[in-house]
Amino acid sequence: MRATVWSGRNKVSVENVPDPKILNARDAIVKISSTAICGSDLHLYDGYVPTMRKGDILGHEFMGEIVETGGDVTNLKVGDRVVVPFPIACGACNACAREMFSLCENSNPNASTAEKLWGDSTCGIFGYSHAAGGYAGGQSEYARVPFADVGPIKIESDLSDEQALFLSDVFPTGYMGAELCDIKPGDIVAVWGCGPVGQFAIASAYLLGAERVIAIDRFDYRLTMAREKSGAETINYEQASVREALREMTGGRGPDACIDCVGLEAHHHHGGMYAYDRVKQATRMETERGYALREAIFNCRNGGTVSIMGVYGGFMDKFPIGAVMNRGLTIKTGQCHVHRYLRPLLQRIEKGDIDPSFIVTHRMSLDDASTGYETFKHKQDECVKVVMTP
Amino acid sequence: MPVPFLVPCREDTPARSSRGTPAAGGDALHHADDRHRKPVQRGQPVVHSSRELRDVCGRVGDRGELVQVAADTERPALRVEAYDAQWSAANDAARAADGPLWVVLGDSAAQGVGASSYDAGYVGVVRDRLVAADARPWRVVNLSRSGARTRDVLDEAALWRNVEGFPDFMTHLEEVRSTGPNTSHWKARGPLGTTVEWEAEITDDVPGERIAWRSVEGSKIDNSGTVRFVTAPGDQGTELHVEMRYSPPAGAVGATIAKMFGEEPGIQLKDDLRRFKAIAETGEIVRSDGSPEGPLGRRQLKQRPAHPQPDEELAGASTNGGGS
Ligand SMILES: NC(=O)c1ccc[n+]([C@@H]2O[C@H](COP(=O)([O-])OP(=O)(O)OC[C@H]3O[C@@H](n4cnc5c(N)ncnc54)[C@H](O)[C@@H]3O)[C@@H](O)[C@H]2O)c1
Ligand SMILES: [Zn+2]
Ligand SMILES: [Zn+2]
Repeated sequence: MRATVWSGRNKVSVENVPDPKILNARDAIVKISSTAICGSDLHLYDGYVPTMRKGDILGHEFMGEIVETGGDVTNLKVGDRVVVPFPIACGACNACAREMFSLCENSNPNASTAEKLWGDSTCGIFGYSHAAGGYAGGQSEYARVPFADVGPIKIESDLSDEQALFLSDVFPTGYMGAELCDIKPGDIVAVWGCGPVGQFAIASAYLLGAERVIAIDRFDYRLTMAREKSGAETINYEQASVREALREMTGGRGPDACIDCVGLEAHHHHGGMYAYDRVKQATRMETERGYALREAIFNCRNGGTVSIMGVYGGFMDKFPIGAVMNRGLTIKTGQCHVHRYLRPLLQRIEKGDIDPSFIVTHRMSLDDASTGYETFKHKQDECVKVVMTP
Repeated sequence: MPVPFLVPCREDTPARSSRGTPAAGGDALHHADDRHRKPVQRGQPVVHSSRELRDVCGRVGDRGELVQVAADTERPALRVEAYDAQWSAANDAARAADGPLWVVLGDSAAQGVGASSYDAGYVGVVRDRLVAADARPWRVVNLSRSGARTRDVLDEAALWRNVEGFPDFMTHLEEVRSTGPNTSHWKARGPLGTTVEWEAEITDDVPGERIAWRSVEGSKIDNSGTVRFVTAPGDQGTELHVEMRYSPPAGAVGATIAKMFGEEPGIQLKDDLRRFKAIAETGEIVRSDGSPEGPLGRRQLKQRPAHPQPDEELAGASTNGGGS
């Protein structure tokens, strides 16, 4: 089959690889109908995530049709149309029982590697480095899905692929980012980053009852999308001081909750600061560029919540722990526990509360994956989300 | 909430408990060839939603499944009124009848508490569905108890008492054979295709608490181990505390043996425990493209690329640590 393969920093290519096979009795094979590129894939593409190997198949946002099931999978049958959540979870361990599926204790065969990096392991994740299990991803024609009796959700209504696909990751991720903020009536929520995750965090904050949402980015077309699709107010951080604008917009209090939807490759308009972190990151003295997170912490209202959905991989300099401690902030974060949100969010889509397809700007063939990565990485041609079809 | 357990049992095999005595009313179930087959789903998992229930039931018809039942499952302390008398009578009738057998372990939900009659709870409903689905006279023996918890009915220690299953999760072992009620023959893999063998005996076995074994006098390699079972606080499941000791003989043979027990025995033991946990909780050791053998220390540094492997390569990588 054809698959999008990581071939080193800034290089992906579509290559022929063997078809996936059932390796465990609880596996299923999915013939992929639509697959997307995620901001998380950019961290791999840019070489910031350790434990990648040449030849790894990328992709963790995919859906399609079941073409084969292992002997122990009885809830799915050939022909079922499913969306596959990006975390791989067994459904039976303590973490799964507590619905913290991205912390599943049985799905990462490379747990001891992850443990060295982070102190303990996360779940396995499709196409997301060897520390996350060394699983082939889904930017390909077919994918093997372990624990298929637990993860995939069947789509039985007539939703289009583009309406259902983002249940695999970015819609639940944005939703969880907002849910962690424990939004109460009257709350003002600020969201850093207006990529797909940010767009869904904004929309979800409104779904969960936020009074106002303030979106921060530097790309006007993304800010326009946040305004037009979800009704957010916006700040372009290259044109205004984020701090001053936020204070002004919140009566001097600061937002009640701040959501980081940027992650470890944050950009900074201040040349000096940006150069400082870039050099340190390039020389591996720190692994993150943390402006968005620092700014979110610094500007959050006293006693408020900072929810981190952007991905971080290691260690950060100048972490404003003094602000967190003295001003009584709460930090909440995690890889999204996608399984928890599949059903309720599918219902919301089916009821028409939200149509997630609004983020799609680019549609292309899987064969053009490398163009897709470049376009999305450099935010060319007003790109927000690339969906590929094999 | 304590969790109901559904325990399918194969009709044609007379079942015995892992301790060799008839367990839990004579209907429970463990046969050596099915060991380690399937979810002894431990911890808090499972059968909450009707979807999951359906999934489990879907597995009932086609195969017998491993489950090991603690001998004191019917312990009176667990009994409350519920539909106990009705189920006892129904169980007696089921034991006397013919047909495929479904043994139910669980708590008040499986007792049918809250339903209008004892068999109008989910157990009755599922049994009716089974009968409707495959047109065979399914029998139910319901061993559930109100207020039961997982560990009241499932016996993790049985997995450890079953030494022949050790190679499934201890990757340096090639084979363990039972040679008597308390004795066994062990064969471990070494570097470059070498093996070493020894005899071991169980030295201590306190059900639900600990099990210990050691090599017998005169073995080439002197080793021993203990597994203790400790209930985790807050009903989170069972903690396994494992200690392994070995003293290889001096000289070149000793060095080889030291190597095969792992250059980093701590990591190896941890991976073995991960594999044990996976078998106990999910019924399988999950394989990935990078680590087709499952958790395996020596595979961590030599990951295969994360894309499907050709058949020839997969053939060499089994989940009990074979191949490389
Ligand atoms: N936690 C999870 O489970 C999870 C799941 C999916 C994605 N993610 C992460 O979420 C993040 C966003 O993903 P995406 O797909 O939306 O990516 P994206 O690249 O499309 O979006 C990132 C946005 O952040 C903006 N940005 C950069 N620096 C900024 C700054 N200093 N202040 C404000 N905005 C800034 C960029 O302009 C861009 O629009 C990534 O880190 C991704 O890895 C996490
Ligand atoms: Zn993603
Ligand atoms: Zn799990």
